[in-house]
Amino acid sequence: MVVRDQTTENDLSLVRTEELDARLASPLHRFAAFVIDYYIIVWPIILLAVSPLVRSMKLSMMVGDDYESNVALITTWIVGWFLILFYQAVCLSFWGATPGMKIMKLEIVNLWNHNTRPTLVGAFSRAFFLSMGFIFFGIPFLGIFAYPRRRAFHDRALNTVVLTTRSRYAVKAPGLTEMLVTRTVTWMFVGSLLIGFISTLLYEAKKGDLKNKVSLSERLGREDAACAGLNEAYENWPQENGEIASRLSVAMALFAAEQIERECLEKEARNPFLDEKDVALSYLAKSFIHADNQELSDLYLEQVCHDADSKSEDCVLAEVIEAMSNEDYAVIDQKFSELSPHGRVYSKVWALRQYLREERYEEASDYLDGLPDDLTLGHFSVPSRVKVLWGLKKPEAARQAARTAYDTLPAKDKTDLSGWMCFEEMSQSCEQTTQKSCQIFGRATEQDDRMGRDLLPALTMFKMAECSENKTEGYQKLLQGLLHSEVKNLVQATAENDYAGLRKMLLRSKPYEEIENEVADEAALVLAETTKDDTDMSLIQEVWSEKSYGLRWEQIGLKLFSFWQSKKDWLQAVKVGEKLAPSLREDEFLQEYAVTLYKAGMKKEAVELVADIESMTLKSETERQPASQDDYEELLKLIEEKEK
Amino acid sequence: MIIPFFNGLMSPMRAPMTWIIIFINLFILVLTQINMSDIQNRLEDLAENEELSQIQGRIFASYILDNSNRYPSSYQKIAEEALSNSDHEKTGLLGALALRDSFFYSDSNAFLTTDKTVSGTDSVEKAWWKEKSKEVLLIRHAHAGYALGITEESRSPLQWLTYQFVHSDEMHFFANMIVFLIFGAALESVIGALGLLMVFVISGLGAALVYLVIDDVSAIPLIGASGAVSGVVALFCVLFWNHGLRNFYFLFVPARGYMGFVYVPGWLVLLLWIIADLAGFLSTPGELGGVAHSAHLGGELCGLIMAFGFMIYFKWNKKSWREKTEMNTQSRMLGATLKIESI
Repeated sequence: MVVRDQTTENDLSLVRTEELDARLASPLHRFAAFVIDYYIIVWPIILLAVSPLVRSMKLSMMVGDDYESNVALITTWIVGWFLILFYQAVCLSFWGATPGMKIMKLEIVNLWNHNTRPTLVGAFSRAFFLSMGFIFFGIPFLGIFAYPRRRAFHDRALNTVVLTTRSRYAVKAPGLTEMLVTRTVTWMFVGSLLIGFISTLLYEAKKGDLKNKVSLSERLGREDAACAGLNEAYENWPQENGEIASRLSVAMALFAAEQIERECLEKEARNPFLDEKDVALSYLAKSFIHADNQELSDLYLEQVCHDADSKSEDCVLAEVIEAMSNEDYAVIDQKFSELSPHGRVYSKVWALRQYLREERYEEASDYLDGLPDDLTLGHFSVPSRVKVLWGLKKPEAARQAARTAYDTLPAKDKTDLSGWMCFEEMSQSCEQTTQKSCQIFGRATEQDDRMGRDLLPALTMFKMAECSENKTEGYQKLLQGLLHSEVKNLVQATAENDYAGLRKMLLRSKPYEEIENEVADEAALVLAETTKDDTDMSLIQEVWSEKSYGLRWEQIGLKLFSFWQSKKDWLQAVKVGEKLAPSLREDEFLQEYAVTLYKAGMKKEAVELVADIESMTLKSETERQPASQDDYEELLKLIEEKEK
Repeated sequence: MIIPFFNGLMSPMRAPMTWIIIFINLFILVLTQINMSDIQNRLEDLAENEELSQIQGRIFASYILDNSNRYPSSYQKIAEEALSNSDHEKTGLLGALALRDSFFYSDSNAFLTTDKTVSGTDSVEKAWWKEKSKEVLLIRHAHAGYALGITEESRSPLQWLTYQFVHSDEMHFFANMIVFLIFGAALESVIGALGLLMVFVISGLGAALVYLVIDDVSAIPLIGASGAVSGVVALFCVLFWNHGLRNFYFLFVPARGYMGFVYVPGWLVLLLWIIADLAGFLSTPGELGGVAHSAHLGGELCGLIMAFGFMIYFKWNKKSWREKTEMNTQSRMLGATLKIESI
């Protein structure tokens, strides 16, 4: 076999080149013959021959039988390949040309002996090399332009040459320029292919490596580990109302605590051996499973109360969810208040989450007691306990609980909790940035610059920028990184003192919508801090009046109260104080409120409040001193004189 | 790339019936597209609804196992796996296949009222699915494709005719009508306007008949002019079986010699056409559907039969249709298969 083209100057004595050179086939005619052979003759035959295999492959793929579909695919390729070899071999060995060549008046002859056509084995080998040309992206065919006598790789391999029988259609041998250009293009193409191939190999190897890691962690994290977590929790689960909790009840609690995925809950809810007493609960679970399809979810909720007592926890929770989807917040509050803090764990978890979201910490603390230990409930209780303690104004206890939690919590929960704590610390005072929570959160943001995409970490980062020494630089740095879009707007408006933008954010406040509510609260605080305009403060007050609880709500209220006091607008200050007083039971505030009442001419109310303050012992853990201690002393004296 | 280019695109004056048929198809397409977009969207929304697909898949799986004599082993295998392993992928596949099944939708309500236990499906899901299945049937009732197309349960005499003039979308319409414009106009110049209309309609009827007899008929309607067009192509190719029919070729190089006309004999065109449809028919499982290759084959069969009828007719009347045509052909390519003229 001769792979190199040997019709070089040295071979001229062996080959009668004049005759060959006068009859070289045109590349165009060869291409036309190729089209006729493969697109008109062979391709339809192959299509017909492999059609049962293709059918079998499609069916196997539909059934998901990879083995059978791969076998069918490989067989299809082999049959197709064999047909091409057979067609070429038979045609060339018997007639010296394929039908396409015959039509185009072409023939194949042996280079050394022009009167002989290839043997069957030779034709078969030539066809083999020709088919290799397809596998190598047609590069070997470029030999037609790059070698003397226009011989592609398969011609050189078998010592053949393609000639035309009509000498008027013959073409010349490629010139030096044509050969050089073709060879350059060929090698450039081969080089690019090699580079592409090696890069792909390296990329795939890296991707495969990553994929293996991800798939392993995914498998462990999403399914096995999550459902294994359910098994573990079930074994250690405490009794509920004096009874052993069912697996579905445990799954519901873990799902509520965001410790298992929906698929895991679905498996439990679809358990065909479900206990009869859990039927209503399974409907409740399915309403969560089908949360994306409101119509079906609602049907399940209806079924819960149909199968259970209307006062049962399952039915009450079903009504809560229905109210949530209808955005009927009054019903949500009322129904949650109907849930007993001594009920089943899953209802406690839902209630606790709801009250924490609404920043109603006293109610939340009722549901916190009696939850299973932290390990069983998968790190849900500890962060909740920290938040409740903070919300109940026990900062030292909360800090202590958080410090303990940081040693045991997994990385993500730890970052979430530290972010929350840091935000609360800085909302109290910028001096608190040295607390452990802020240090942990700061380190986490340095390690993961995508953290700002979520709302709460983004707000904490905003607070950190606000508390930094160079605020402008802090805001700019934040704006350059990845940041939650709403928080980005807030940072931009704050950095540019864009009051109109802040007002816009403030007016978008929706008490029960987390994103709008949190951003609006921050916008209100920034606005109250920077503008001293009565209209802006009235606007803040208007929005603020729609709520009646929450840590941020109290802060905004205090700012409004101080503002109206400083303006000596006692009636406005009384309006704010009146709303704040029921929840802000702190000596300092109440004393100031009493003074304000007195100055607003509401002496009777002031006297009553003073009596109230004096009679009860308030334990304040904050170290803030009242701004008008003297006024309160004066008021006490006045009241004493009046009493005398 | 080879495109038939007998006489170019013939004008409505030279091929009136071809253009009338094209305009009727276009008119129906516009009409159905205007009225159908909302219905089609609702139908697609239901088909893409993940919950519906899963629940329907479970119910269909139970139905298949309950009626195992009616379904192939591949269906039964999927059904068993979907139910026993809670395989979401296979359940979803069955949910989609259920929409194609002729028996399931008509039988399923009766099937569910027999208090049949469907593994993994409760009464709420069953009730919800029943509502949705009613919605699917109502939408289908209002859908032009279902009203005018042929399905297993709906094949009135009028539908045998109307299905030929309905297309699912613009691409479906253009693909059929371009072929029809080329072959139909050329044929019209040979057999006249009424002859073409007769060939078109009879081929369409034959296509539907073969489809109903040999294919796995589904609940998805048979629509489109492709069966009728296949008949027109077949008849034309038989009439010009040994004449070189002019086709334009382009070898992807915009240079002299790489484009031009190739004269292909009618028998070769027909052979390639039939092989393509036969291969398509043999390689496509009925359950996956798509192009109704069996209808194409039916149309081609009708075209062949009619062609022999025409040949006998012309022979008895001692007429030669070839001479009176305006066709740009190379007459009598006996002995030669192809002739190429490069430009």
